[in-house]
Amino acid sequence: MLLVEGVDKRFAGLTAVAGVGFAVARGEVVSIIGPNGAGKTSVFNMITGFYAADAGSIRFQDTELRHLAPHEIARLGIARTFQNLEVFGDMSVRGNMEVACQCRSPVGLWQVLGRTRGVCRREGEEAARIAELITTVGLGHKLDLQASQLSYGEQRRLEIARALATGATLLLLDEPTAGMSPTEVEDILALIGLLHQRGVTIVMIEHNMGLVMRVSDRVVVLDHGVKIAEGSPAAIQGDPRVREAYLGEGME
Amino acid sequence: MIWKRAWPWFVACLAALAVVPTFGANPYTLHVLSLVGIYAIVAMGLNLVFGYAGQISLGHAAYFAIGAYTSTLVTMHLGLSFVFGMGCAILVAAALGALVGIPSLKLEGSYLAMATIGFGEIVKMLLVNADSVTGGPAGISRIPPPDVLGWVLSSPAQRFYLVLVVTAAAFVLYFNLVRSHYGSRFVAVRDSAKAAAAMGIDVRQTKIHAFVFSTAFAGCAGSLYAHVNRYIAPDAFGLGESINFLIIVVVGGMGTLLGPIVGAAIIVYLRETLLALKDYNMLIYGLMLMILMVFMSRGLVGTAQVVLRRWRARSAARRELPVKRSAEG
Amino acid sequence: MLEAIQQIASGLAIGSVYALVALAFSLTVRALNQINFATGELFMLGAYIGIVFLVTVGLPVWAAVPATAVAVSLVGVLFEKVAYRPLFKANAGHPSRLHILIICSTIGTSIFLQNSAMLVWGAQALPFPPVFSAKPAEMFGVIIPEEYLWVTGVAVLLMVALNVFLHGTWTGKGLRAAAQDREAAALMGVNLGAADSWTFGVSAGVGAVGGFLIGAMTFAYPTMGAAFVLKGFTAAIIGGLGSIRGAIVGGFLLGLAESLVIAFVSSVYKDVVAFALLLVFLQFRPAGLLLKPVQRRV
Repeated sequence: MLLVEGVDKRFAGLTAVAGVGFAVARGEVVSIIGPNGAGKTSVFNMITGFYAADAGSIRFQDTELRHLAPHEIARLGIARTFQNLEVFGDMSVRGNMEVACQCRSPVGLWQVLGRTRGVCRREGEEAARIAELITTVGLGHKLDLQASQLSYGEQRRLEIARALATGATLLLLDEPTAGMSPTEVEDILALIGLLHQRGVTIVMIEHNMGLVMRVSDRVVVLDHGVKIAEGSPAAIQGDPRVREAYLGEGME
Repeated sequence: MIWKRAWPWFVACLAALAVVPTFGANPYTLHVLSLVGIYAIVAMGLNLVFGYAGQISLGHAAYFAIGAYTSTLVTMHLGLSFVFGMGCAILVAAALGALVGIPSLKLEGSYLAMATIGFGEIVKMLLVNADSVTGGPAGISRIPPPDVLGWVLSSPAQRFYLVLVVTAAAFVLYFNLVRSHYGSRFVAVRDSAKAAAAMGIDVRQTKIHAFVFSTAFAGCAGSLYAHVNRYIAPDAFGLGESINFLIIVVVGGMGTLLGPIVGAAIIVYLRETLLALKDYNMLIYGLMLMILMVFMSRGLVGTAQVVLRRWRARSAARRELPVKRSAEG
Repeated sequence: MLEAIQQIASGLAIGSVYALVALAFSLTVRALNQINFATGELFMLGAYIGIVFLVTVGLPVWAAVPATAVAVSLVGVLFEKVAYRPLFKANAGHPSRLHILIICSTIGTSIFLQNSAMLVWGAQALPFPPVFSAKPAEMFGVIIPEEYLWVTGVAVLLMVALNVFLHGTWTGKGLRAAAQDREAAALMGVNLGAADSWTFGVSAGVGAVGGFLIGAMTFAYPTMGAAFVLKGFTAAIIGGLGSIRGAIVGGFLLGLAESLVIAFVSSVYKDVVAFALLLVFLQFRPAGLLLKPVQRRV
């Protein structure tokens, strides 16, 4: 489904990512792990078009993504969340979701201005979908609150719901549990399981090893911008190179 | 769905305004009310740019002028009807808006403000200097009154009805846009361009849409202004007027649905009443602006919303309190 | 040819004033990323307060210039406390709204100051007492009015003083640190509130000296700020908005460009030059000549 091959990224001479490649099959949950500064988020930014890769190729369902803009990539069906929250704070939770709903099949401006029957019907369908998705992430009772009034964990869940509302088939989650309490982590774990059952393909960057080991089909390990290991969670846990990369960081 | 709650209010307001001329309002009052409608149209368009999409323009007087001059020249020199003139005004203003907006909207904040000021000043210079077409600094007088389907609207009351109808139509379009799911994307671009792009929104295009929409509205209002006022001159279309538009939107409440209309009513009324103070007129205007920005930065409608929300929350809490007590007891 | 050299001399004199207005702009932009639309009115106040010090108080020129700068600086500080800080505090979380509010509030201030000046000193232009001798001086065989040299000299002196202040004093270093990274500066013990007041004060003072110098060559009139504000801003954009060196370079370049157009084309197009340069730079090189362009993808 997603094929990343030999991508490089340099910032003013500093190499952030060098020759990283991995493949993700439909329906998989793949985790990318590695110490801070390993280039994990840079890989995400290259897949979603926020950074231009200096070399290599990124293909999604046989479409080359390297020269596409972020919004074009999103319309192909790749949605993401951000490490530092990026909810639309001045908008209601509902408004956040409405924005995402139009991702894959935008309405025409003229139809909106004239408010045609088609637009009314679509908005009715979207409202139903929003209600369904937002209940899935457990924010059903907060639909009309301002997004900036939500707690940190709730904003993270809103971001996931919003990414799902785009109708994406591939979901990139950047540290979905950062700064969360253990009970909130359990909620996220259940949510990922649920999405997995529905057939959504997930790639996530995560530091919580417990979570990674429990939900991932495969794990990719980056260190200093280079892929040092890839395999099943069990194999990764036993890999000496991975232990070395994490030395001093206390991997269980 | 969005109209379900709004349309009774909308019809009631229109009906209330429609009976104003029959209650013996004098021509001056009707003229001032027409001006409120005209400025409200400009402000609705600009609110999309300032309030929703979070961009700045200090050159909208130029599009207002382009609408006014286009419509005037089309009706006076080509002898075509006002409705056609207004159509041309809207198209020309929108086309110029696209021409200026596409390169300029890659700029941000202060840079965008200055680029739009520069464009506005150039248009004003052209109006002053191309005197064979525009009549130069003296402007154009004796513009024909508007005509609709061969019917000439010669009295202030008839022109008031014309402005009312056009303003209502503009409001319908504006309402459809900002209250639809589609409208959320403008705020999305303002709040987080990054997340908006990740949701499949073309950030640049969205800003351009908002800008062109607002210039089309300004062109439409300019055409009305020319035929209602029946006299236009470059002086009325300078930086001062662009600033005035900005102030209407901000005083009404940026990013609020009704802010542009409330702002237009307040500012037009203020300008008319402050005229009596002669020398102190602008001094007080400036001072009030400073005070408003500091104490009411959300504008009148925005502040009213906050007060209303707080009041509702408080009364809701009061209603819940006895229930809790009885539960504890 | 001789006429051209005279034009260049006048271009340098006017350019030095443009540079001062550009500096006034750039100081607030680089520290707070906000344009102060009242910069032109502080410039105008410089001319009027200058007349007050020279005529009413009777100070000699060498004392009147710094006195004017200090007096208008205080107006700038007051402005920061009254019209800037409350807005900044209330809307810190909404950058795009803050930006538009600051524009409105500074425009309100500018309308207020302009009309106050009109009430106090009248709408007519007020003549300056003779400050710099207008008698021609001969340099390298060319006759140049002496006041051009004085104006350029005072402006350059002020730029040097500003540079010494920013690089050589503790306050100046604090201001530079705050302009680069507010959070880091605050951690290092810079009082950000005081730094903002200083920024507005210094910016107002620099602009005011520009107004004093223009007034000394021509008159003081209430709308003189509006006439110079766009020129000063264009100069700042040419050099790179927010850069001190850029403002100076941009000011002199714009002054020279205008004088060359007058000398070789026609004085009618003098004002078009500034607008044309403004738009060309904004479209093709918004970062100006001396700043590195920033590349962004979204």
